[in-house]
Parts: sequence; structure tokens; C-alpha cells
Amino acid sequence: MSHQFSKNIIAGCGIGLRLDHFDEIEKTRPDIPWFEVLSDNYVLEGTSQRDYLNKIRKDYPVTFHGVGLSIGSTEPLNQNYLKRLKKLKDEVQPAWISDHLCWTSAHGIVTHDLIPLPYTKNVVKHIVDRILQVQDYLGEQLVIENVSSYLQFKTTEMSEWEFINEVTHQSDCRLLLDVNNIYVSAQNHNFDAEDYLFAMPAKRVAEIHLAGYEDRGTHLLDTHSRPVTKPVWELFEKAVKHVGDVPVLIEWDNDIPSLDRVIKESSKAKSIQQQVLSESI
Amino acid sequence: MKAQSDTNTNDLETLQNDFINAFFNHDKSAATKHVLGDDTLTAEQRLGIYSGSVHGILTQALGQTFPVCKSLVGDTFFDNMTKLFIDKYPPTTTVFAEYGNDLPLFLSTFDPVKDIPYFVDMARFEWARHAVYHNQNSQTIDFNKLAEVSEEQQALLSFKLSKTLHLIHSDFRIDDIWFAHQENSELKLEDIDLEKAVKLFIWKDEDTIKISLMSHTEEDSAYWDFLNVVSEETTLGDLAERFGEQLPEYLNQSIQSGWIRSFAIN
Repeated sequence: MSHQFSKNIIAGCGIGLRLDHFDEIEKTRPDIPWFEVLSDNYVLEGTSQRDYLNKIRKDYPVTFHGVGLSIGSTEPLNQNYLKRLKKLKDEVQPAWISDHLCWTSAHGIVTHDLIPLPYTKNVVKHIVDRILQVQDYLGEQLVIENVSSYLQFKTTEMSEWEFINEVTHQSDCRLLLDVNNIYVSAQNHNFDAEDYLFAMPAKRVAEIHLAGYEDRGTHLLDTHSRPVTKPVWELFEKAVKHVGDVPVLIEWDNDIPSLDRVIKESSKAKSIQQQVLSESI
Repeated sequence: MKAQSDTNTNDLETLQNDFINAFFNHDKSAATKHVLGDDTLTAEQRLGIYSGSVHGILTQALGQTFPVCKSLVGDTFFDNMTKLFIDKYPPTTTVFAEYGNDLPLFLSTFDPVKDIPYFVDMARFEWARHAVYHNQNSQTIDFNKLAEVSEEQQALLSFKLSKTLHLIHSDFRIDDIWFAHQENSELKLEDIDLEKAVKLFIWKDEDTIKISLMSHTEEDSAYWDFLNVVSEETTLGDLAERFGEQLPEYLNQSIQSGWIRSFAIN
């Protein structure tokens, strides 16, 4: 089917493909370099949404982003989910598939939320084993995203950045570096966001995520409902210096504004990225 | 795929089960013991952020699937009601579109909505619309193959309705109530004869959800009953016994209209 799709080159600043913008995108075919697709919403075959995705794919490169893998769960990998994901991948041919370094389901129940893990050597071993199984099944490197967190575990033995380095190195997976998540977790757990950022394995970073959080007084909540904040833009500049020219994506999942507004946020990311890259030449 | 659990992950398995209990059974005692508290937030408060977030995500998803139900009772009532539903019927699927099937069943014994007599039927109606939209368009098989079925096999043969067709019978005019809640609708709730029973087809035509009202004539009622019996995968022998001379016409009509898409020999 590849001949009917656009070339899958992911470069520049893309945006998340959201239902609210379907009609406008289909009618106006806006100048957006690529879309990130929430793969879990498209795994059902023969649906209208799946048909829409295939239409979009003809004109735009896409990546997949999911929450259903539950890579940190202790229950067996969800075979039904993997089968559906692989079928969708074969049909749509995304540039890559990403999910989160956390767990979302256990005991047969799916929380649909990103629950953090204790950062221990045993958990590294467990996650690496599962990532290797998923990569083997999908036949490609997985891209794993760092999550925002609001709690830490008593049994944690290492920093989150040490944990990420161990997992990505041992499983040879790639990293989706969410700059907003670093900032949110740094504020919530009182560590220096730059310590985390500069410890990231730059060469493994496939993509950067940016989003907006809400300040709940006692903590920051990663809601993807606001524009990117000033301190996150500042951290993003440092991230670009650290990892170089990698694709950037604006996530906006709640209180979703007009397509123009999301594109404007994406343009701002592009402008900052280009400025930083030109200064570093 | 390898088996997952070994002694190295026992602690993690306990932690995850304790968290699931905290989220859906509201027993936070075991999960709290895993979490660090500090001067800003206690361990229980930090856990509570996730508990609230899990319920918030699921409540929001249910609100998108059942918007008229939400409108009928208001945001606060709906959120509190769905929190109870979520605890009783937590999701077992990774796909949001597959979650909510049990809400009408839950509501059928949920006394606080008894004052709105058509509320449970509205939930059934909204789930039907949602399911029809997200269900795969069934492939139509070649019905000429029916001629190859032996007489013995015919007794075991049953037909399958399209997955993009739902049949709803309600003692209330739920289709009009639903339309009255749509943006820019000229239909007003006060103008609807609420207690008028309806038999509805909810089906997908291309990407559009369509709602057709069955007339109350004896003929149409019999056809409606036929489709309902078919949906229970009744065998051809039992269909013939029940619908007699009408059966060939009903079968032809439902195959032509695409309501019946395939058959199976059990």
C-alpha cells in the first residue's frame, strides 16, 4: 500500500491529530509537516475513524503514540492490543510507534492513565525484557516517553534519569523526550530539571513533546489543556541545544482550541528550534 | 511471548494491585504504604491525585459517549453517577470506544435516576449510536452459497445481523427527546409526547448514523419481531416455525436492505 501514501519523513514541528480538527484538515489540507496519531483510537478495524486516518495518511507523514501498551505492568503483554496495533501499523505505516515509560493496566483493569514506576534495578530488567518482546513482535525499535509524575515510591533506588538511561540502553529503544513532563516532575519532586535534561541520551531522542500544564497550587498537573508555559519554552531551548535537530510535537488534548491556535503554537516551537540551531552552527 | 512474573516482579505486582484497589475500591491503605509523603502533600494526597485523574479521564470519556444523559442530569450529577459506575465496572479494554456498554445496565438499578423514566432507555439509545458508529461495517457474504447447504445443515443454520444496525424498543419517544437536545434543534422537549412507545432502527450509512422509526402497523411490527429474533441467532428451523409463509419475504427484505449480512451453521 505504500505507493499511495506520502513519504514518511518526520521533520520539523508537527501537531497531534485530533477529532475536533478532522473536518478542517480534510477540507483545507493545512501546511503541517506531520501528525502524531493517538493509535489506541484507531485500532478498531473498518471504522469511520480508521478510514479517515487512511485518507490523512495519503497526504501527511504520521507517527503513532499510544498509552495501551502498559510496558511497566506485571500482567502479561496484552496480545489483543499488540495484534491490533501491528495490524494498524502495517496498514498505515507510521514512521515510528511510541508509548510511555509507566504502567496503565494491571489485574485485568485498564486505568487509561499513566502511573509511574519505582525506579529499581529489578524494574529496569522487567521493562527491558518487555520492550525487547514488543520490538521483536513489531519488528522495529520502540520509542518510549518519559512521563509526568505526582508521587515517588519508597523503594526507588535511582533517579528517573538514571532509570531512563538504563532502560533505553539495555533495550536499545529510542526516546520521546517530553520537555513539559520533565518540568512538571521537577517542580513536583523538587529536583533540577536541567540535571534531568542534560543526563538524557541525546542520540536516542527521536522526538520532543511540548504541552501545557495546570498549576493546582500544591502541584503541577500535566493536562495538555493550555499553551506551553514560559519556563517550559526556556527548557525547550536547552533541550534543542542538547539533542540537536529532532522533530517536535505540540500536544493539546483537553480544552482543544482551533486548529489555527495549535498550528501557531507549533510555529513558535519551530521558530525557537531554528533560532537555537542557527546559533549553534 | 514469555511468561511475565518472577520473583523480581512480585513487589511490583503487589504495588500495582494495591494501586488498582485504591483507584476502584477506594481502599488506599495498602497503596499509600508504597508512596513517599512530604511537607507539601501526604502520601495519601499524592495517591489521590492519580485516583482523581483516573476517574476524571473515564468520566470525561463517558460524557462524550452519553452527552444527552449528561445534559438530562447536569454535569455534577453525571460525574458523581459515573464515578460509581466506573468503580463497579472498571474498564478492561484499552480502547475508549469499547467502554460504557454496561452503563444502561448499571442505571437500571440506580435509584437516583428513577425520576426520569426514560433515562435508562436514553443511555441504551446513546450507546447504540456510539456502537454503530465505531463498529466495523460487516462484510456481506455471498448468499448464493445458501443453495449449497444440505437439508440437515439447514436446521442448524442461523443468520447474523449487521454490526452497524441496532434495534431499540422504548416505551418513550427517546428519538425525539434525543433530537430535542441537539444544538440548534427546533424540537422542544415540552412539545414531545414523551410516553409514546417507539421501535427504532439505528444504523450506519457510510459515515452517517441514521435513525428510522418503525411504524406501528401489524405488518411492520411482525418484521421488527423477526429482526429481533434473528439477532438472537435463532436457527432457520425455528424461524420457519415462528414466521411461516412470511419468512422468505422477510429474509429477502432484510438481505436486500443489508440488515442481514451473513449466515453460520452452528
